[in-house]
Amino acid sequence: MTRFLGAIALLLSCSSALAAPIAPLWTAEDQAFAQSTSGKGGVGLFQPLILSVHERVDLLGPSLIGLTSPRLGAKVSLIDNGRVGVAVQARVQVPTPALGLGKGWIIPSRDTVGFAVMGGVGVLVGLRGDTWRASLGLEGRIGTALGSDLQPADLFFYDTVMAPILEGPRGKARLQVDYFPGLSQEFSDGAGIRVQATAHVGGLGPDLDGKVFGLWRVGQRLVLGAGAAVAWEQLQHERSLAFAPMLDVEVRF
Amino acid sequence: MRWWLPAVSLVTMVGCEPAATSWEPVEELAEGEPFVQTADTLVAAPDNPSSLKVMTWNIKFGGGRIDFFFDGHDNIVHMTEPEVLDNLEGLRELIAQQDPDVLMCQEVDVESKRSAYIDMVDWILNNTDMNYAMWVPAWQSRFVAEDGLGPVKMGQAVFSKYPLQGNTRVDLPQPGENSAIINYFYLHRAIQITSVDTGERGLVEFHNQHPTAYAVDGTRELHLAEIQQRAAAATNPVVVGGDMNVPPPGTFRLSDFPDYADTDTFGVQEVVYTEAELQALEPFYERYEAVVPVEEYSAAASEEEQSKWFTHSISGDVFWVMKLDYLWTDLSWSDGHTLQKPGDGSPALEVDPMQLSDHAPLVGILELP
Repeated sequence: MTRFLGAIALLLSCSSALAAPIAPLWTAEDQAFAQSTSGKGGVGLFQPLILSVHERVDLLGPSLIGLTSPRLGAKVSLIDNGRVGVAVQARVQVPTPALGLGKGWIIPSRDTVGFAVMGGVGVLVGLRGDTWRASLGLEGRIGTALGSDLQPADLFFYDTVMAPILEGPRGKARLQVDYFPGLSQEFSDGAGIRVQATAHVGGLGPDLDGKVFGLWRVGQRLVLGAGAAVAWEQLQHERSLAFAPMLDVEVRF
Repeated sequence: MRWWLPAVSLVTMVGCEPAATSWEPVEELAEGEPFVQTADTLVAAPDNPSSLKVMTWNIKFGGGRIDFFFDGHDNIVHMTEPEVLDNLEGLRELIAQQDPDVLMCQEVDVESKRSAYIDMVDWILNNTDMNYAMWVPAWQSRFVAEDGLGPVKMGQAVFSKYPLQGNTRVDLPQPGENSAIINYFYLHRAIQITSVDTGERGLVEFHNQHPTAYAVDGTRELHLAEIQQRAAAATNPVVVGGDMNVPPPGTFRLSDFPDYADTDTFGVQEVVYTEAELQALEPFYERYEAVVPVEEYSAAASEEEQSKWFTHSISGDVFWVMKLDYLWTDLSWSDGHTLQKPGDGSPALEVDPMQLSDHAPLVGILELP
């Protein structure tokens, strides 16, 4: 974990973009378009790290909270003509520490939590307008927890995130729209809205969830976010709605 | 309860439905499942009976003698469906052998992860000669973050061969010693009141009880006082029964029970009863006739002599160590039995109650006016 954090710090400190006057309001997480400018990126308390290492390649990492479930991935832009984008994405995640931390409250303390790994590969297709961009992503997810006897916790949101380990292989379709009202592209210096709808199939599913999230720039590099997520998930005993407020503090570089 | 509960609470409180049920002081729950249920096939019962065989039994949510984490003897949290069905089959056998007309149950799960989401009201109703059932919740939460317990729906149920009327839930105060956030997800103890329609002999009110077990801040006395007041306000003949979670006056042993796990086991707290708590049962004995008269119980010369009326032990390896279960009435009992072991009761039991729950059933023949 220390090495991982060190690597992130090194990448950030070496970024030529640190001297840039402004960074994108929205990162390109789950979007078909690349960050485009090498060195640009962002990370939040909950927003996963994204870092452009090439005009067509973004590295994907964990959020700060997500350090308990480290992940690493890459997104490669195959087509980006300014209006249409196609990208492929792959990521691997090791939620072993997060599952361990959940023992005794989400997971019975008697359950064994072995080395856990989840992975996913997918394709993203997107369109971009002057004040918006939209992407449809399809992803297959698999996972395993070696030597574990984990069962679904029947806890909204949690089960969906951990589904490849708790419920088996999953397919995910996500439509995401970023809107930058009245401003040009994602280099807005004001505020923006992201709307996201995701369908999960496989396991106990299908599960549906949606998010509406607003971002407000506060200074050059600090961005505050607030929104709400709603889930319509199939648990072992019921299917019903749940929602959660979302707050985030993010930095851009 | 652990320090991280508030953290999980923040997640689970945000559900479109509340994370835990909102509780009214007095609520009529006489419509819809799981509150009101009728057997798929009705079994004919004698018309206009002159007596009713009444049984009270804390069935431990179909947990049999599995050692759950909260008891300290082992660390089981969830049962598998076959385990629950096997335990329910044991309960069914005893109920079938005793053949009660009215069964008052405590700790009845209807949709809990720990008991594989089996609706025990429905199961008992459709696997015994009972025809009607009423259930009230005492614990409802979408996720209880206590060792991964998860969703819980537990309560009290009255089963009857005869039609039931009304199903009132009277909320009892929660322990003041708990924080508000703990209490939000904690048990909300309740009195269940329903009436059995016996035909020509009219209605008999059944007050099904399961007051607090652990509170040491006076909550127990508050619960017993409320139970007493509600029973006194009954407008028909009344039966008050259930797991009262306190031994009778005159009990020899009030602490150091041999079935308790070491108190240095995480989460295990020693239960010590006070004379004041025992005395809180006096008004029931003064006003009503008990299946086990307190004069007889307190006249026993030793704990060993009292032990024939004991109804509870936490460990399946330790025979019943205290009496917590009661049946009182303002009518009269013509017979009664504490069903501790095979051979007890009338007819004599063939199954062993020690293997079926952490409580023994208590039965009485209620003479109708």
